[in-house]
Amino acid sequence: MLKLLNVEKRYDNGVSALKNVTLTVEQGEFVYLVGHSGAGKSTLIKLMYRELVPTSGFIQINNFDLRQMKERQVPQLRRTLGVVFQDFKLLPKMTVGENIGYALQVIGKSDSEIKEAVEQVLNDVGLEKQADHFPNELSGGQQQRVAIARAIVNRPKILIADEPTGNLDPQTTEGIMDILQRINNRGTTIIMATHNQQIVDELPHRVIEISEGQIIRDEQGGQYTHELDNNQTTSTR
Amino acid sequence: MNWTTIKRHLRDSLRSLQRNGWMAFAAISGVAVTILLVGISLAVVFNVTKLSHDVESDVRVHVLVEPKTTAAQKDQLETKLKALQGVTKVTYSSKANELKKVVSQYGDSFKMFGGDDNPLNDVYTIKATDPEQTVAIAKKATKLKHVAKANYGGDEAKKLFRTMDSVRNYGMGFSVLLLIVAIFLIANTIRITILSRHNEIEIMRLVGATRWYIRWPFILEGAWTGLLGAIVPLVIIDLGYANVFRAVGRQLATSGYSLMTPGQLIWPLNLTLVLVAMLIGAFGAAISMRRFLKV
Repeated sequence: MLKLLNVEKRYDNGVSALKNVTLTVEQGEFVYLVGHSGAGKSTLIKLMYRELVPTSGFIQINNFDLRQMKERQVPQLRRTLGVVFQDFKLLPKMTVGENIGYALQVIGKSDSEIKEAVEQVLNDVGLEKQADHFPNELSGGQQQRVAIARAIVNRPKILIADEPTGNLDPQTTEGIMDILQRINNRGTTIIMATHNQQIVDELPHRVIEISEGQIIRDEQGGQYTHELDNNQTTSTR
Repeated sequence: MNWTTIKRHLRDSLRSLQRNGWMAFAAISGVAVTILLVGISLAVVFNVTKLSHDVESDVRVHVLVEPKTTAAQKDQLETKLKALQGVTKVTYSSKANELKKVVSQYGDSFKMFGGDDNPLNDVYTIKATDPEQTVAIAKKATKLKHVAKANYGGDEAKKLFRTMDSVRNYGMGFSVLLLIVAIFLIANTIRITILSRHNEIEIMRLVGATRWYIRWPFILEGAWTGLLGAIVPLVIIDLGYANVFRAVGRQLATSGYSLMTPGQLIWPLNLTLVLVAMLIGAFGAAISMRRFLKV
C-alpha cells in the first residue's frame, strides 16, 4: 500500500528535512505521525501526495513509484488519495456541494453520479443541509468536515491528513476523529500527522514518531509520548 | 475533451466570473479603458490612411493638346493615351470647358477670354491604375504627337507621394504599437486577478485535476473578460463615429474626399477589437497560471 525505503529529503537551502526514512503501511491501518514542529512530519506527508519529490530513496503508494513518475501522472496518483489539511483548503467561490463534486468532476463522473455521491458523503459527515453554503458561511469544524467529505468522495484507499484538528476546539476535534475512525473502519488506510496528545492517547493506533527527520519510534497502539519519556517525566516530578 | 467537459468548463468559467464579482468588474473595466483608447486611435489611423490614399489617387496627368490639332488627330491621340501602360481612364475636356472651370473657380472676369481669345488648351485627363505610375505616364505622354505639355504636378506630386507613404507607415507603426500596449495592459489586468486566486489553482491540483482541466475555465474566463470589456467601448466608438462621420463627412465632401463610412469601419474594427480583447484575455490567463500549475 505505502512503502518508503531509505527516503531522504534535502531542500534547496541545504536543510535536511528527512534522513533515511524506511516505512511500510498496510491496507486498513490507522497511523499517527507525531513529533515536534519542524521534525519532518509535514515533509513526509507532502512526499506522499507528491507535492515534494524525495532527494533519494524509494516511495511507492497505490502502485505508483513516486520518484520515477512523470509530472503528468501526478493527477492520477492524487485521485487515488484523499488529502485533508489543517487549513481545510476549500475553494472559496464554490459551494460545499461544488467543492466536493469537483473531486469527481475531474475524473469525468456524470452530473447525476456526482449529485448522488455528494449527497451520500455529506450525509456521512452530517452536513446534508449545508450543500449550498459557501465555505466562509461555515464554522471551522464544518469546513473540516467538508474537506474530509471531499477527500473520501471518490473512495480513496488512503486518506492522508496533515494536522486535521490543528485549528479546532476539543469538542469539534472529537467529532472529526469520530468521522475519521468510521472511515477507517470501512477499510480506508489513514495516515494522520498530529500534535494532539489527547487524541493519540484516547484513540490508540500505530504511532510513528519523527525527530530531526528520522523515525525514532514505530509502535502499535502507542501513546503520544514514549513510555520511557513518561516514566522519566514522572520520576523527575 | 468530451461535450460534458466542454459544458462544465463553460459553466464554471461563467460562474466564476459572476462569483468573483468585484475582481471581475475591475478586470473588465481595465480592458474597457484600453479597448476604448485603442479603438479611437485605430479609427483615426484607418481614416488618415484612407484619406492619404484618396489624396494620392487624386493625382492625375493633365495632357494639354497643341492648338490647331484636328478632331481626327485628337481621336488618334486619345487612342494612344489609352494604350499607355498603367492608364485606367482618359477623359477629354475641351478648352471651352476648361474656361468654364476657371470662371466658376475665379470669377466672371475670366469670361472675357471666351471664344477665339481662349488661351487654354484642350485637355486629356489621365488617371493611373497606380498613383506611383503618374510620373512615368506623364513622361511618355509628352513624347506623343500633338501634345503641348503633360502636367502631373512635378516635384509637388513626388513630395505628396513621399508624405503619404510616411503617413501610412507611421499609421501602421502606431497601430502595432497600440496593439502591443493593449496586449500588455489587458494581460496584466488578467494576471492580477489570477495572482489573487493562486490558492484555488493549487487546491485544484491537490484534488487530482489535470493542468488543462484547471486551465480551461480560467482561459475562458479571460476570454469573457475580454469580450465584456470590449462591449461598452465599442458601443461608444460606434455611436461616436457615426456622429463624427456625419459632421466631418459633410465638410470633407466639398473637397471631394470622404471618411470611411460607418459600414466600412465599424464591423472590421469591432471584430478586430473583440478578437484582440478575447485572445489577449485568454492568453493572459494561460500565461499567468503557468507558475501555479507546478504544485
